[in-house]
Amino acid sequence: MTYTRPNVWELGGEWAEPILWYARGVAAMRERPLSEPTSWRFYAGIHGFDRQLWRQLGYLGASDRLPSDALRRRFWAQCQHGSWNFLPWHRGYLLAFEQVVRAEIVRLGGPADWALPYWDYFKPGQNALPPAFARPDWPDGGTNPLFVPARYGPAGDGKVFVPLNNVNLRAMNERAFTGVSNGASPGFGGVDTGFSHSGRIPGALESQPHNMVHVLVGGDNGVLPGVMTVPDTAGLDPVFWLHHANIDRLWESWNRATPSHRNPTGARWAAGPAGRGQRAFAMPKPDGSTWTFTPGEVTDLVTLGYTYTDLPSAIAAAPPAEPRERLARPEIAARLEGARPVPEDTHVELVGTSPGPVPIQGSDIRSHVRLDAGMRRKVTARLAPALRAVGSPAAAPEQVFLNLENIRGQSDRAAFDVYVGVPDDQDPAAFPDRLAGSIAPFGLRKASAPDQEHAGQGLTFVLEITQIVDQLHLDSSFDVDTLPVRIVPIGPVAPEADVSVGRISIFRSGR
Amino acid sequence: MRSQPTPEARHRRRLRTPVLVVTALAWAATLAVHLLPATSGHHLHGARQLHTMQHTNDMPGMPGMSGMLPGAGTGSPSNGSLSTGSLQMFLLGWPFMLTAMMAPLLVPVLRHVHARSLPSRRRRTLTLLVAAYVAVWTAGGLVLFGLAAAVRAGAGSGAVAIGSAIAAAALWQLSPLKQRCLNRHHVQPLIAAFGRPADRDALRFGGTHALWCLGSCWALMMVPLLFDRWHLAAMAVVTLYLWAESFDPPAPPAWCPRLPVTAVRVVSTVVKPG
Repeated sequence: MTYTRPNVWELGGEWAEPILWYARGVAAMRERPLSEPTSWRFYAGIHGFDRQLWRQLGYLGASDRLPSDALRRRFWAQCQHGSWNFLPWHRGYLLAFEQVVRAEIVRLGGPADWALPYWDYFKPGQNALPPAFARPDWPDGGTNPLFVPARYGPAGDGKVFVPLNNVNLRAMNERAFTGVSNGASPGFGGVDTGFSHSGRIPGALESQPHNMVHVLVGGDNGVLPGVMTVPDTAGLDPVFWLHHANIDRLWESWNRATPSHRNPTGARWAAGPAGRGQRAFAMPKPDGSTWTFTPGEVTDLVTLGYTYTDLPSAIAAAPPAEPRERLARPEIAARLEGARPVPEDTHVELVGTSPGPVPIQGSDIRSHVRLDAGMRRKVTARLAPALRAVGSPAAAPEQVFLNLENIRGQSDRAAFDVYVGVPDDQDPAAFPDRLAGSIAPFGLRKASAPDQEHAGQGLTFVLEITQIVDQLHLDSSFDVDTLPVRIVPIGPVAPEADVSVGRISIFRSGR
Repeated sequence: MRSQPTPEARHRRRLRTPVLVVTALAWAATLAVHLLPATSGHHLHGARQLHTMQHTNDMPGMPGMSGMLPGAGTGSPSNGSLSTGSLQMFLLGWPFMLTAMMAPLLVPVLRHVHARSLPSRRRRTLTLLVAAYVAVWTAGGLVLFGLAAAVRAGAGSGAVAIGSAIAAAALWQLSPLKQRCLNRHHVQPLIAAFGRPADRDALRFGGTHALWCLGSCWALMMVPLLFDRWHLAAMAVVTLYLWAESFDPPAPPAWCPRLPVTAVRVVSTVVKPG
């Protein structure tokens, strides 16, 4: 049997059968005590657990009995972030969750072929929270199990939607699944790591749209973060699963876009962390047994018996804002199509950095990256059309990346737009072609704690700025000692949250 | 299934391979330093003293090493003062011992700094970082050497000294302070890229990293310093343990047993049949 995951906005009504049965399945899971592995909150704990935050948000009461230590060690706090395990782990998590919900639905007399809907916030008119999640009542009477009061939205006012100017599909243009941690692209799926409950550098799809949707949908109310905003509570929100179904769909779409968009094939990937003696990916099954899986076992969606109602083979990012003559150059065109693998002779080198940490305070933060003259000349020389033309087809294309290193802070709600090359006295909104990207450091607070897995180093984000630098070079604006970088917070960041970027840097990658 | 190295794995290998080669050479040199005086008749002051000590200690099985140990070879454990010869031998062997034990632990730091510094300054930055690291560790090593001499002097017998050191190491291993040091040891701070601030940051990073490393390792490193005959074997065991525990990620500090679970699992996965 092939299960087909449908678009939640195209089910035929606010409470169409698939979403109504989802609500009933969720309600049945909610009735089970926390200590039972197939309960709603136990499944959320598999993603992450924060005792204090669960208490504050009303998900952990004095009478609740936590699962046994053995169960928690095996199942809880497993989610993989900042890692190439991000996509396969969440695929397995979705599959297991869906099985549990489906078992509840069948027990209640529902369809045996039920599959989890997905939320495609990019589709025109579908970026608002699906209505069944937005109201406290539901057809079966009582409290709607899909409704979460602590879901505050981008402005913190309870109006929940995904602002399309803050999310993008640039990840779909990534050429390789796995990348590097040394300043260049971390790849579509993330960097090769071991078990990584909270890694430091997210892959392209994890960063955008995954992280941004989490933070903007969850938001905060000025005191507490929304449930979706924090990795340790996100699984408690029923819309989490529809969001991740969409991320999973985007992974499959990336695979189908071009034959060169391949998942890793090595044993290190296939066997996952368990293959190296680390913790195994394990999920509770409806019958009480445990499903242990590896990335290699969930790579092929067809073999797993799943598909999506809308799985375009080429979801593409919006065309880059770039002059026509630049787009016509074969090197750039090839890069945009994602047609070439990463050559082995790629060198990654630092070009310049900010003079120190950059505090994120106020609504418009001006910073500068000092450029090393020699490295700047190297970049511009290799971006030159003449040199491109003589480069061998297999040679690494010249790429430039902006790194926001070691972002730290006590807010999980922080998110910002980053512009490169906008003069200090100009409004960055007037320079959409200089927008390097929008980032949301999902899990920032925990990543900043010195005695957690990150050792307090925070999170690092990588944005490709080749086209911006290319354009600046054409305009003779790159031949400077310092390059302006503007950070514009999406929503206010409280000064007491002490959010800062440890260092802003520019790297080149190429021959 | 044939494993293709990922780009990240290739980057890791570029730095790890030369460091592991240097480590292997350091182990060979450490062994040589301890075998040389007894076999080739070198006339270093410490070596001469060592030769005498081996006879007076009646420990013919393991030549060389005990000469660099604090208070060793004085004929009586209670007379464990810090002799010039043993200090000289300690300093002679120390660079090799430090490299042999600590170089692999420096790989993540070297990789981090190599990646995040300007190509034109990489060599300078890495040199300053390693210099600061070695300087702080050497100062710490001398303190450990003195402490070992004091323990020997106060213990009354070698066995009591070793037993006390093992007990102290076990207590330190269980303590939250040990975990705190391990956590800080994982930190890879950002460093400035240009000018004097880059030099200053490289020195600061090397020094602080060595301090946290010293905090993590001092108690375990005391143990081989108190062994005469089995010094090298004890050093090898302690080194393997220190390498193994570096695989574990940071964790909240607490009083608890701290075993190198990740490394043990990795090894058991590699060696298990099939």
